[in-house]
Amino acid sequence: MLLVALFLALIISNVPPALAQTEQGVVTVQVLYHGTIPPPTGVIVTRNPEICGTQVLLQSLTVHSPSGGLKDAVVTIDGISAPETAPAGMAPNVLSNSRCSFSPHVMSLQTGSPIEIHNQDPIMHNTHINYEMRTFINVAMVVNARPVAKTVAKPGLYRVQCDVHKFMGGYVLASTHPYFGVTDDHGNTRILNVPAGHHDISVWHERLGQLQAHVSVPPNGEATATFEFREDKTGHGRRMDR
Amino acid sequence: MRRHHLASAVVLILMLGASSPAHAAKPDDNPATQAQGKVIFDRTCLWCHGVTGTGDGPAGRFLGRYAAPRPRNFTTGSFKFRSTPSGDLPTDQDLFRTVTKGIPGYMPGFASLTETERWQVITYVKSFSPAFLVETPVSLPLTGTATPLGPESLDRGRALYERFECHTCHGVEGWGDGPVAQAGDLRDVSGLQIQATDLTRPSSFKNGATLQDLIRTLLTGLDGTPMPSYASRLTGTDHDGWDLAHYIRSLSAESAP
Ligand code: HEC
Ligand code: HEC
Ligand SMILES: [Cu+2]
Repeated sequence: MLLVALFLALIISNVPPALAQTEQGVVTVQVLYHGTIPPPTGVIVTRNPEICGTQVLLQSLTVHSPSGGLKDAVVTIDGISAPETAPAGMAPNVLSNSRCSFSPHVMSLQTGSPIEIHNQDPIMHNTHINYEMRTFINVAMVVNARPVAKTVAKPGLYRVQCDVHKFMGGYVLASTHPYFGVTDDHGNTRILNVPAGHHDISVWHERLGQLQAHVSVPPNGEATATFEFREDKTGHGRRMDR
Repeated sequence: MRRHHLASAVVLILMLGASSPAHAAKPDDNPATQAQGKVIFDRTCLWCHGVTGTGDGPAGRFLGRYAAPRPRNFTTGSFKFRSTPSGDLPTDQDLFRTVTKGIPGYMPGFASLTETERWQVITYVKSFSPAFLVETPVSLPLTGTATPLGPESLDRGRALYERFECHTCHGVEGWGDGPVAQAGDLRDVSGLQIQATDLTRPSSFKNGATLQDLIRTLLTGLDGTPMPSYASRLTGTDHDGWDLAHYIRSLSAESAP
């Protein structure tokens, strides 16, 4: 039985790659913010200050200086479906409770893949994720708890909170396909293996909202998209094809 | 092999949802049953839950205006009293239990309806949320074996209450006055302030106060509220759930139900 399975696997992996997939390219994205950065909101910690600190500074805009690159923005190709070949992104997406905050603060994942909740702190957090008005999961993550995994079925925005520490918050954005990215400290992200052609592309940020643009992805080449959010929320996206 | 079968049979019997089997009078889930359910709903439940099931009936409007709970909005698919994992729909048996027993302090029990009528109205309630068409809720197995009530079990239960940080919300003595509750930080899904239950008053427990009821609450959590599921911590343990349930009941000055 095992032998047969192995044999089949060999045959399948022998299919030349060019036949199995359409031509692809890379989309390189930069998300910028131009404007003043509001001062962080200070929250006095009443529960577990020994671990969480006595005061937490909440900053919903993390902007790199001097480039203006905006962190934690989710970039997604729109109106595209998942590839037929086995999706690569089904590895668990780890959401950690770490020093009284959710790490990563913003996560993007493909539907059908699990979200795996960890607690690295020596105190209890409850990880409470809502989808619209419905609980997706609310689990107590006690000290040394083993990770809890749950598969995300529905695309859309999930809000993450901890009821014990109300300053803890995060977001999960689920798409039906693997063509997304979350911007790093410099506001950059790269989306790999995007089918060549014209695509709509959008960016979402928890505070600044959404912007849209277009990209033309050349076969085996690279397209660049830059999004600019402005303080008055009139930002725009522009494209540069290479 | 034989032992394995035996074990799974025991697990099946202990499924959380199977505590009150009321299948005899259960009609099929079809449009006719729904229509009969609607008649009962409009006469009995609409007052609180509203014409469209969103919890805004003529009386529902005034219930829970400033503090939780509001009558349930059935369109969201979020339910508190389940035997299923956090975030999942309730089973039909779960809904039957809620409708039969009611929710102390907030909703009357409807044992006055015949069993068939209760099933009919449940069929109608389910039709408010499309989630019931695509999801198949499955009860969690009840964990471990019942431990006898005694000082050892209570000691272990007390240690778990502390280790699981129940006191954060419910307070050290269980009075519902933990630091997070006192800070006024607890909210339900609609943003309304919600109390952590006073655990010394089991007669007010919405989800029941028998050992099995308490273990169910701890395993499932109460969706739409801060009360989390402890399933990942209790599943696979032999007596933790039972010890904790014994301990909760020992907090009460009331005589055990
Ligand atoms: C007096 C007002 C009132 C009436 C009448 C009423 N309900 Fe409710 N119901 C409530 C309230 C309030 C809640 C929410 C309680 C909570 O969240 O703690 C609720 C919750 C529920 C729930 C959700 C339970 C869960 O697991 O979340 C169901 C199901 C339900 N009601 C069914 C019914 C049905 C069926 C009827 C009629 C046969 C009915 N109710 C009549 C007030 C009412
Ligand atoms: C983050 C805060 C929080 C934590 C931690 C927490 N609870 Fe709760 N619990 C609540 C809230 C809020 C409710 C009330 C929900 C409602 O009324 O709808 C509740 C309800 C309950 C109930 C149900 C009462 C009923 O009406 O049926 C029990 C029992 C309970 N909690 C026990 C515990 C135990 C034991 C622990 C620890 C293992 C615990 N809770 C941890 C917030 C919490
Ligand atoms: Cu926390």
